[in-house]
Amino acid sequence: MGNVRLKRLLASFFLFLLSVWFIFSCARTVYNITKLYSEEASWVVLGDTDKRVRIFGDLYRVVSYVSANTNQNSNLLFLSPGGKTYYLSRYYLYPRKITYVKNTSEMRRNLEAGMFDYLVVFQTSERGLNEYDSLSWKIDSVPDFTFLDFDNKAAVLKIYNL
Amino acid sequence: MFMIPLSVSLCLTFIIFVFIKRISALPGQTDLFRFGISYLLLFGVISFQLFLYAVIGLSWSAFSLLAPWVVSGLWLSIPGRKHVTLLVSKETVSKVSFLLLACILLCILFVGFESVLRPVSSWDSWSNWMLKAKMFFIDGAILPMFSYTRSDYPIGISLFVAFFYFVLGRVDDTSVLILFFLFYLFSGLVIYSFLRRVLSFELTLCFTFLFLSLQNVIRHGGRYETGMADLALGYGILCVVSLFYYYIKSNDRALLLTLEIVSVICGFIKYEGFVFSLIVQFLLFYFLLREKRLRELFVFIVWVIPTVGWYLYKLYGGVQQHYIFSGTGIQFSRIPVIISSMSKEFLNVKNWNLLWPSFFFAVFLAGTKIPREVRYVLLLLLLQILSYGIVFVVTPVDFEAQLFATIDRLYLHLAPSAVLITAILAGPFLSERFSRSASREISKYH
Repeated sequence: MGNVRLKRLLASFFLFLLSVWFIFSCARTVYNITKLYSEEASWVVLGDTDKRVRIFGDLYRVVSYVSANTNQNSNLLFLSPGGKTYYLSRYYLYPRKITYVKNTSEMRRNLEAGMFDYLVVFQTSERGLNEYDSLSWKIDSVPDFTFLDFDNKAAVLKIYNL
Repeated sequence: MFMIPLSVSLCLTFIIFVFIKRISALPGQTDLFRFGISYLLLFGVISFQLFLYAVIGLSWSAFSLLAPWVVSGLWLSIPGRKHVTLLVSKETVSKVSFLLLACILLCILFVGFESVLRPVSSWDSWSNWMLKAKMFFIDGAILPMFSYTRSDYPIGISLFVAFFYFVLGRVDDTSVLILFFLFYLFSGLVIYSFLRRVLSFELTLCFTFLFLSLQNVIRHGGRYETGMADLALGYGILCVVSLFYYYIKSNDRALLLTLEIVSVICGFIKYEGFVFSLIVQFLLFYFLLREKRLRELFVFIVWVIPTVGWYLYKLYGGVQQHYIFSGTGIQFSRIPVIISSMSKEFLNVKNWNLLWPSFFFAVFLAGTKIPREVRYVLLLLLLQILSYGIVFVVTPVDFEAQLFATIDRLYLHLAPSAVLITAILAGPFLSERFSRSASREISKYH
């Protein structure tokens, strides 16, 4: 008798679980639809570049700048403040080949090998990007370069033609 | 621009559907189920097509890639052959089912709209899947990718996306996201068509809606996480689970071949898919031995040839082994943290609503009455979860960070199948409850 009651109780609890799940699903669907007005309407009016800037912030501007000022199929030595900058650059800058270095001594070692067309240095104070304390880098001793500057409030980008 | 990948992929899916119907690859199944699985087969065929071209030295171009499809389409539509149509059973739409249909439609429209609203934005997508697709499109080959990225990850998703870059004639990482929405849509279709055979129309719609409205599924189907391979793998695992279920239940040999093909495809989506397909092989082997169906063991060749072929190709490409295998060994001390974090994620309502508590409760409630075919499927899912736990025990990187970053994606692989199992186990109980309450309602009026 007790067993049957327990089974009934468990079955009712299961039905309750499914009902709550269903209510949550309905509520979330309504919430998602409201997002179309509250969040997504502002995306619809944006152009492709603006959308990418909104997603990746200044990092997308940096990548676009490097793309515009380096030849396709070139080899870039990238002194990058962190992984995200490197991986995003690797995606957007392809077919340019990027070698990722995290500090100036690594950079010098690679420069001595002499297989690069450009040295790209990106320094930023943005917390999410600056894993390697990039603002502390001193880069005075790169020989024979011309550079293009990209400045904004918190970042410096230099491209050296090697 | 997204209309091009959308219409091309749907047309090619239809060609696959007609083909599998002609050759009776899925006997005893409904057309909707066949069509639901066809998108995964399309994914597999396209990935294999590009891979084969690369191996035999045929160049990739829109013409060379689409020509076989056009020829196949024309061949399949020759008049006089058996006429093939997509048969959809007619349903009586009550008020409840109308409301549920409206909810499902809202979810689908929302996710479809979201999927092409933004360019690819998830880290794994642009650092891995989309990067490789872009490289394949620009280089017209696979091998340069190995030397540049040093990644030995499966390339199915990237080849699939690259195919549509060739169709579009350029890299467009916004339009192709519609392909990831289709993984969402077709997962829903497989769940619906499978459940419709065992549940009433209303209950089938209800569970389909419960799946399509899972927040993590929506994020991967069309919002910020779209472009990753996890929902694709969830869909692949769902197809394997469905076919495994039918095979164990019906013992129909014709299903076995399709099951093996679909299992191979899972291995080309992600590493976790490869582990899953390996588990399927072990369970299938056990089943065939137990049932003394030794003649059917030949089917493993369908899994072995492409799997070994891909590993040989990677060796030829000089790619390094996966980082997981470069660890220091098994770290038993991590187990309590892993178990605790994995259990917590089951209760993460934000990602899963009440899917996992309902799933475990359904299994608990069914207890010893769980049918044999469901027991096999549950074992399959359990071993897959166990494999994730093992990865965290041996990983050489910071396991807590990895656990935190990946656990919701790992559960996404199993979520579609978990909805299916919950519905199968809850079905008889719910039908009984609702028919009892319906008969009570009727008796009130008499």
